[in-house]
Amino acid sequence: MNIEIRNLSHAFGDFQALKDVSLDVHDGELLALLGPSGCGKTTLLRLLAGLARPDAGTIRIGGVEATGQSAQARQVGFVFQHYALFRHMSVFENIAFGLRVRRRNRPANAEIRQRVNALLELVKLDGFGNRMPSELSGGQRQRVALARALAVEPRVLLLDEPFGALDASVRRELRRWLRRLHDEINITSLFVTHDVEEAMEVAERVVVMDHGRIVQMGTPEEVYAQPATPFVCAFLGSVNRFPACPAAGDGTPELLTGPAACGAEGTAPLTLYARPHELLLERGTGTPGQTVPATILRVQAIGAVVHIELQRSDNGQRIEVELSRERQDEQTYKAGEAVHIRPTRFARF
Amino acid sequence: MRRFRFRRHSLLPGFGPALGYTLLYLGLLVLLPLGGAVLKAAGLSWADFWRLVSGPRAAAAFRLSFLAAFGAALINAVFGFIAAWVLVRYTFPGRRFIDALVDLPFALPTSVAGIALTALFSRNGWIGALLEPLGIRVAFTPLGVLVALVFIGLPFTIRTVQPVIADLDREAELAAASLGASAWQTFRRITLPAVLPAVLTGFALAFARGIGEYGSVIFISGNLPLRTEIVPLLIVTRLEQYDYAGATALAVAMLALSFVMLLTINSLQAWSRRRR
Repeated sequence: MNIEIRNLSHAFGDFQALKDVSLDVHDGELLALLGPSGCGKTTLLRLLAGLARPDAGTIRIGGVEATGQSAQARQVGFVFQHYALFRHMSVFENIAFGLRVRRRNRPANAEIRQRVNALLELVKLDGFGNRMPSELSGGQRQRVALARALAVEPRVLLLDEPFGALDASVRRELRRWLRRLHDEINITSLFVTHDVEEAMEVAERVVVMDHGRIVQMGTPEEVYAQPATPFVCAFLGSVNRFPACPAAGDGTPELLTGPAACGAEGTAPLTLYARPHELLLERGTGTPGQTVPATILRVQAIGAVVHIELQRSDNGQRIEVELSRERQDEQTYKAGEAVHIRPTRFARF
Repeated sequence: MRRFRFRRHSLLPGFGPALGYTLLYLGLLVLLPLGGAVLKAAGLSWADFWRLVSGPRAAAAFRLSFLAAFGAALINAVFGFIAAWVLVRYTFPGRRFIDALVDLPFALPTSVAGIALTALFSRNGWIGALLEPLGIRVAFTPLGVLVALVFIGLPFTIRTVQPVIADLDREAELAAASLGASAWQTFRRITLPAVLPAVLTGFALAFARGIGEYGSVIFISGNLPLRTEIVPLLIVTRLEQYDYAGATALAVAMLALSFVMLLTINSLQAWSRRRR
């Protein structure tokens, strides 16, 4: 089912959590809402699930007006960060709950059993039906929560930081599994995360939010390669900022060094954003306007990528550079060495 | 044969002294006086004992004491739960004030409560005067005993249930709603099972308190033998008549009955907790 969100706003007291948000989620899509805490992503998810009411705006699910519908009527599956399993029920009963509380077309017991067992198999927990939630690991609990949400055959699946409470290795494993599961069952899914890597790895499309607004949406590749704002650029990964002057015409901007200002006519300086792997180190005299002088503080050579931390000689700013292992083996940069930094690619704002 | 073993679950030291102190404390304060009563009653023959506790006056007193305590505990379990729910889940002006009010029955001398309730519910009291035309009399009837015991037992359920409600997983309720459960189904299947053990604890406490209550009841009940006389009062009456054997026989019978009922409630509670 597709979801159409139009001009949605929501406030908690004086705090405007969501400001005029519009978004289309396509049928069968796996979409990530990405942003720092407090950006409104969880609020948006709760409004979609009917767990809160918007102050303004509309939500349509599968083309049907859903804004005023109760959570019960919406047929939306919700997975909570802290699982929210029913502690006094076995895994089986947790998953069966949504079927058992139906007043119309409640399936017969035999059918419930069959469906719950099929779901247990789907989430790789066959044979765990009689366990209590307290006897499961975090990853297993979250899979039970997912199976429970899927049991009622929801039109849309919403996941609120589904892996947030798990440790790193389980998290990685589980998100690959979620990716495969989605390929298998193809249900329109939205998940909320503040973990860039997670969003990039799992989602087909990423929606970046900040201060209650959507700042950018697109495929992970698009968002990473062409960040729309300095915020998105900095949020997606570490980035180095270089003050520069716009060049005449379409030319490459000139890097500023020291207290120098831009030209005589007082053009406003701009900032170039370059990621650590978009920088090169050079020995020798450097090229004014294209390189900046710096001193190497630390070289950390672990794995395939070598991390080098530098300090600019002119303004003391810290710079992070990533080099390939081969290049470091060739050049053998050492701490204390004076070098020049050359940005090879950058975004400008 | 299985041997008894002392198990230490705690990292903190002092298991020996703590256990010794616990046993001494319980022994001196609970077992010794109760044991004395049993010992005293042991001087009676079975036939005498039975005659003393099953006479019509004693039987009526037992019936009233246990039924009124049970009824009051039941009322308190239901309304105490509702009050605790309101105090935890909602914010409203005066909430802290009401929350503090709950403990008053704990602190008030029970005789004061008894006198106040009698004044309210007597035929010309504020509430009694309203009920009189309806043919309902509270003061000096078994109903009065019930009212006094409800008053006395109220804090027990509220205070035992309150922290458990505060501790409930709110998201589990939201999860139930998103799975299509109605408000009633969510309450019945998710909330109630989680709170039930605490409600039972509160019920048991209120019940035990009701059986032992003396001060407030003697004012409102009127103490009519066979009608509104409770066991504790009958015991005191017997003592005042220097009938020590009769008093201890009643005390021991009451002790045994209470013990059996509390044990039953406790196992019920253990059962409901196991189902979680």
